[in-house]
Amino acid sequence: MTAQALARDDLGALFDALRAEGYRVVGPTLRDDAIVLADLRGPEDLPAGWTVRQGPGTYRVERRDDEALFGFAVGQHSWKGFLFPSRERLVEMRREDGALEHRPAARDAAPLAFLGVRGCDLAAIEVQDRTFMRGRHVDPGYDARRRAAFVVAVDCLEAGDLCFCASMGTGPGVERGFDLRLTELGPRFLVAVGSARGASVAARLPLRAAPAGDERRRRDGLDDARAHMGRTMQADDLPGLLFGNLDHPRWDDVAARCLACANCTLVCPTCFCFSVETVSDLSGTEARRDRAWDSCFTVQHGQIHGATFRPRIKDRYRQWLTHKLGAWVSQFGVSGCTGCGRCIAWCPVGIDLTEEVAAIRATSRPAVAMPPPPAPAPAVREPMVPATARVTAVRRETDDVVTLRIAHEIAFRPGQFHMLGLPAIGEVPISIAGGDGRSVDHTIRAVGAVSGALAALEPGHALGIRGPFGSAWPLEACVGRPVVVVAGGVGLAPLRAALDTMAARPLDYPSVRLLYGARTPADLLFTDDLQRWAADPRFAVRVTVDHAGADWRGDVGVVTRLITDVPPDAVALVCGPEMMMGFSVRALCAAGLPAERAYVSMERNMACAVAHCGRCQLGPYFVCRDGPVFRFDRIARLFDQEGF
Amino acid sequence: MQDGVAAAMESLDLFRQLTEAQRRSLAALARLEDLPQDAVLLRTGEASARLWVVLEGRVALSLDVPGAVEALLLTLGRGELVGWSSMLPAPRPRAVANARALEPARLLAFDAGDLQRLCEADHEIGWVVMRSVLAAVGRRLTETRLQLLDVYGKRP
Ligand SMILES: Cc1cc2nc3c(=O)[nH]c(=O)nc-3n(C[C@H](O)[C@H](O)[C@H](O)COP(=O)(O)OP(=O)(O)OC[C@H]3O[C@@H](n4cnc5c(N)ncnc54)[C@H](O)[C@@H]3O)c2cc1C
Ligand code: SF4
Ligand code: SF4
Repeated sequence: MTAQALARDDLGALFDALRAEGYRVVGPTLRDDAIVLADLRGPEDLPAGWTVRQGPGTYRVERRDDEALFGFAVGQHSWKGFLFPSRERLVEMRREDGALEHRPAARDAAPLAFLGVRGCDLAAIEVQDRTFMRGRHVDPGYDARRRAAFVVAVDCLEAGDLCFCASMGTGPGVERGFDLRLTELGPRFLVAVGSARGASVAARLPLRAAPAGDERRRRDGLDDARAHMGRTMQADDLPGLLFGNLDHPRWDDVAARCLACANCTLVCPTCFCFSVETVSDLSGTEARRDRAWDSCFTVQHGQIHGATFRPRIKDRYRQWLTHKLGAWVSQFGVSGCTGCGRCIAWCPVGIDLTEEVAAIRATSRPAVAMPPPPAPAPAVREPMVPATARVTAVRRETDDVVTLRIAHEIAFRPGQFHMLGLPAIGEVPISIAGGDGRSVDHTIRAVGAVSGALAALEPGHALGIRGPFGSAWPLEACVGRPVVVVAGGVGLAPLRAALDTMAARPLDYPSVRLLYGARTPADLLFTDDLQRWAADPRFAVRVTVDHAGADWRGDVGVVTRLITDVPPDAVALVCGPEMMMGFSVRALCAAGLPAERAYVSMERNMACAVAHCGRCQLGPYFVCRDGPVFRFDRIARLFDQEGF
Repeated sequence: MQDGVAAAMESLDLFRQLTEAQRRSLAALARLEDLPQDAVLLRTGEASARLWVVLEGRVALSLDVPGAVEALLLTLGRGELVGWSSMLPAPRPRAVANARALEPARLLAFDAGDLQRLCEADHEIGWVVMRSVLAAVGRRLTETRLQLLDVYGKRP
């Protein structure tokens, strides 16, 4: 097919054609001394004759010598603002007369046409597609908006001061993924069609054959842009390199400059972390869950009740960069950076990630191996809308711990967890402590607002339940081997279903040793179960507490004291506070157990449990998706690393 | 009886480092003690003159808390030392905790004075014994620190 062109003066026809096909046109326009993305009435709203000058921490619009319509590099806005809005309602809940209803929030998926999508930004959209559409759980709002969106891409024939798309392989030309592509060549646009939808819009345009040489002018323009990138960054080996250098002194250096203002994450077109807030009317009848952009630079991002995993700015900057350039590849199979340069311009103190990476590379220690991305799984839709279930029985375990039995027909694997929620209060991850196919048990310690409200439920009360989520204890790998179970505190709850499975299958599990530590005898959970297991000749149950009165006949002392004589072929399942798990695994390894036969269950902050909200990251993993149960050797390096 | 002592010593990791002859000299100072449940080994405030190694059963260390119930600090099992402070140089400190058998227990008991004299006279043996005592004390210190962290407690 011969190349086709649209005269600059006919650009209005593109707006008309897009509107005729039902699209609302959004694109770049000059507003308040910046080029932003907004609704466009027609070509007159495009920033004709404007360009931008950028440097670390600076962004200025300037007049050009010509009247080019797309002669500028990307600004603070990106298309993520349209596909993944900064605030969005997810779930609506109604509670009336004891009935509780959950429904997906109404979504506005009016089709948008994105006019002027650069290579880096189209790549960024595809990066976010992997988070919200291509994983096991599909975000229905994102999915609808993305499928409806029409992409008019624009080639970059001039590189910006901070661009490094050529290094990241995302630009300056746009070769695929568009509906229509424009290349601005003075008085006309070279037009390429990339899809059936694009062809149908193109059919409405007054296109003419492009003059001979336009294709070559495009290629020369792209070569020129490639040769004049403002920045470069070698990226292919960064995952292993950054994770091999978590103690590099440069992290302290950059932390001394970084303000933890979160600008970089907000302007970055691929950053996807969000928080979930519960909002309700005064009566509590109507409630909803909204999500809002969050950032790994906030303290809450890495916080659970009473613990802050990334307390220092150093931890948070390192989290950002190791995620963006490293962990992303393990999580999604692609780098989280497209080379757009936004984070450099919009950082108030001008931190330049290409410089930081170069400094680390210059004096780096060897790279480490990184895990591959997970295999594709069948998609689950509406992952954020809970089912309604009812409590059928409540058992008080200790002063602040109860076990709820909830009528809920579900298959789960021991070690997995549910998100349990109450409409006007919130939602939290709670492990499944048992179940029989018709009901599930959840053992909850009241430590805060949500867990406190859940622990106060009574038989007949309704709650929201999502899941099950996450990985399970490796019960199949334990078949025929001695199993050592080490539990601390409420950490026995996630192990209870696994212990019951082993109790029910005597031939598969000939020897199970349960070593259980708690604070005091009054804090012991599941005392009936402990007696039942202890009565089974295949089980050896030892219980130790940190403090006890004289009437206690069990052991006193930390649980690691019970770890002796570990059979060399054993598998160990460990759950409890992170500190206790660390000491326990070390004691198991000292007793001869290889780390690849120790499994731990990790806890991190979670808002979604479906690998969308980004909060439960643990290096290359999501705790909700790749955990909570991990083989210890896979996370050993992070386990000993402060600030993860 | 002494046969029992020798067999017990041979079965313990604690004395693995010693030669046969050294073990015999140590065994000559030791005797087996069989205690009924709740028998008291040490009482707070008393000068401790013996060092025990638990062979069977468990021994509890406890603290008298004025105005409150007695608090259990630690339970000791096979291979663990009771009364290690008796190995400190004179003046020997008084026991700061009670030690009693939680269940019927069998222990290997050394007279601290005899043991210290042997260690003085034969530094080879002394070094092994003192290293074992130090290892036990060090381990107990680490474990006490973990206990102090109160990892299961409600975090603020
Ligand atoms: C995989 C997994 C399994 C768990 N299983 C159990 C269990 O079986 N029993 C049990 O008692 N507890 C369990 N927890 C811990 C439980 O989720 C927290 O105690 C609970 O989230 C605290 O929320 P809160 O609102 O009561 O407390 P607040 O301190 O008021 O917390 C406020 C918010 O912070 C977040 N948050 C706080 N702590 C955590 C946390 N630990 N994990 C994730 N987000 C947190 C939540 O978004 C919460 O809404 C589990 C945690 C995880 C990650
Ligand atoms: S990390 Fe910076 S350069 Fe890379 S995509 Fe995000 S904003 Fe652009
Ligand atoms: S790197 Fe810059 S933009 Fe990002 S949080 Fe730190 S100061 Fe803010």
